[in-house]
Amino acid sequence: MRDPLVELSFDEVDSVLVGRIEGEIESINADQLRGALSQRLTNDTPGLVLDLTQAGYLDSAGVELLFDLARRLRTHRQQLRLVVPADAPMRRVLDLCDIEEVAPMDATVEAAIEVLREPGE
Amino acid sequence: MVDPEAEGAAPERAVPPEEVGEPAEGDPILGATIDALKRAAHGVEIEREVAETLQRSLLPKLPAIPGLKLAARYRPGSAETRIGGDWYDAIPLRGGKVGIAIGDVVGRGVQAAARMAHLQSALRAYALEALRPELVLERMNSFVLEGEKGGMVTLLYAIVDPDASTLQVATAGHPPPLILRPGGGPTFAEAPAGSPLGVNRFPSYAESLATLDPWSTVLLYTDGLVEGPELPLGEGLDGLRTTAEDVPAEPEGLCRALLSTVDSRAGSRDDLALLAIQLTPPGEVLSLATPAKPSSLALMRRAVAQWLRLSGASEAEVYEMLVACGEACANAVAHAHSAISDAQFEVQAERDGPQVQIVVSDGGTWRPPSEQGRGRGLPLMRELMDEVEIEPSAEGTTVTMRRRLREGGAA
Repeated sequence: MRDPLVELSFDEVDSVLVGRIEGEIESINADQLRGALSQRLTNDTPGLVLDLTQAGYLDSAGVELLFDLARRLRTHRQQLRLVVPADAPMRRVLDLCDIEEVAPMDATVEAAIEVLREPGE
Repeated sequence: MVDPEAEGAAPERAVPPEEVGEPAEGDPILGATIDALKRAAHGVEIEREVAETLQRSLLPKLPAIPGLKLAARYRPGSAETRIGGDWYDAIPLRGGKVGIAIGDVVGRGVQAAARMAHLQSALRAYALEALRPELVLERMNSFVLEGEKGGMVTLLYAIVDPDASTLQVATAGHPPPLILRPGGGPTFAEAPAGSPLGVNRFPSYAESLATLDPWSTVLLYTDGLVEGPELPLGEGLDGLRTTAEDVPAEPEGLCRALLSTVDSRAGSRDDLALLAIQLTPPGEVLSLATPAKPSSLALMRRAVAQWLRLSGASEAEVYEMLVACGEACANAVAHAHSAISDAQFEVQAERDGPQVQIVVSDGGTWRPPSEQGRGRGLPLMRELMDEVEIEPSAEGTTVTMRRRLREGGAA
């Protein structure tokens, strides 16, 4: 899926769904991104890893999208994990919104998958 | 480009000389012949008009991109050569880059224009895949070989990156771009000339990378500018470079000046397309007004980010102030949404010592962000900036944000 601002692609690693967002997430595309991500979610995955490494911009509409997605996954006992490099400027914005209360951040996709693969809570 | 094989549509055989004879009034044969001739002439004129209308309507509206200025011209050929298949395009790509193209389809009339439309769509599709210029040309070559009927096509495709100030260019038998730099003579960009599209099954297209200075202009053109009945290409290119020493680098002025000199230089009857693109970095004060539409937001952010970088903000500062400014802009667009359709919003940014001030103003009324499902926006703005003031008034809403840059930032 792609629009002029953002491109979304998926991968599956050990039954964990990995979504990669490249580009800019803002009010204009957040709703459709939410729709595209929700569509791919199934009940038999431990959760969704959302790779934001290449997401250059994310505003409050994007943060809202992440909260929605995390809540939705929670109701199915699944988890949303975000991949944001340790030095990415986006971290501060996500921290200010307390995103880790619903979606923990990892520095790499591998680290996020590792956590989700571990059985149990 | 004019195909020497192609015939004009004038029906030479419709009126053999012996049939004209002496003009006898009331001669039924002559009357019918004259009528047929008139209809044919009318048909030629209609075809010419159709072709020109088609060609013009197919040429794109140039995108508005902060930090870049674009202008283009298309001039149809003279009556004998009529419309050709010259075209240009400018395609906004992700990351603030722009794909620019110019091409030339051999042929004339409606067919050439229709074929140009075909190629234009294919080029746009490949360009939007964010492919490098040499790969765009490779795919266009296959497209022409496999699906297209008709003669040769030359094409130049380049990517302009205003942030990196670079021009990445590849050409398929098309003459090279001319670069006008401030304080330096015009030069042709080095562009290894690959074969025209549709000629070679295994063409090798190579691309070159040129660095542009701020305020440089890149000119793309078709051969009508540099080649004519009396003008070989080599001389035409030299002539263009010489002419370009005394013309404005500003794209509109450049196109106008080149069109006004082409007849005396090339004596050209071929059709002609020009596309000029100039890097216009923001000055010390950024002042932009754009339509209050959602699609303006990304363009506005790009301009603000470019200005912040030039003002010495670190990458983290750029990002955080960009989010704050983006929130204010998104609000401005949301306010204006229900109001008049040609509503605008404005962003002004300036730096005073270490302090950056960004002002976003619109003609709408401020609504609490929570009403718009943007409840996190305002608190985020307040966290990311040192000060945020919102002044609603009868005329509109003004949001003023200030933040001090950290020490050590470039002045």
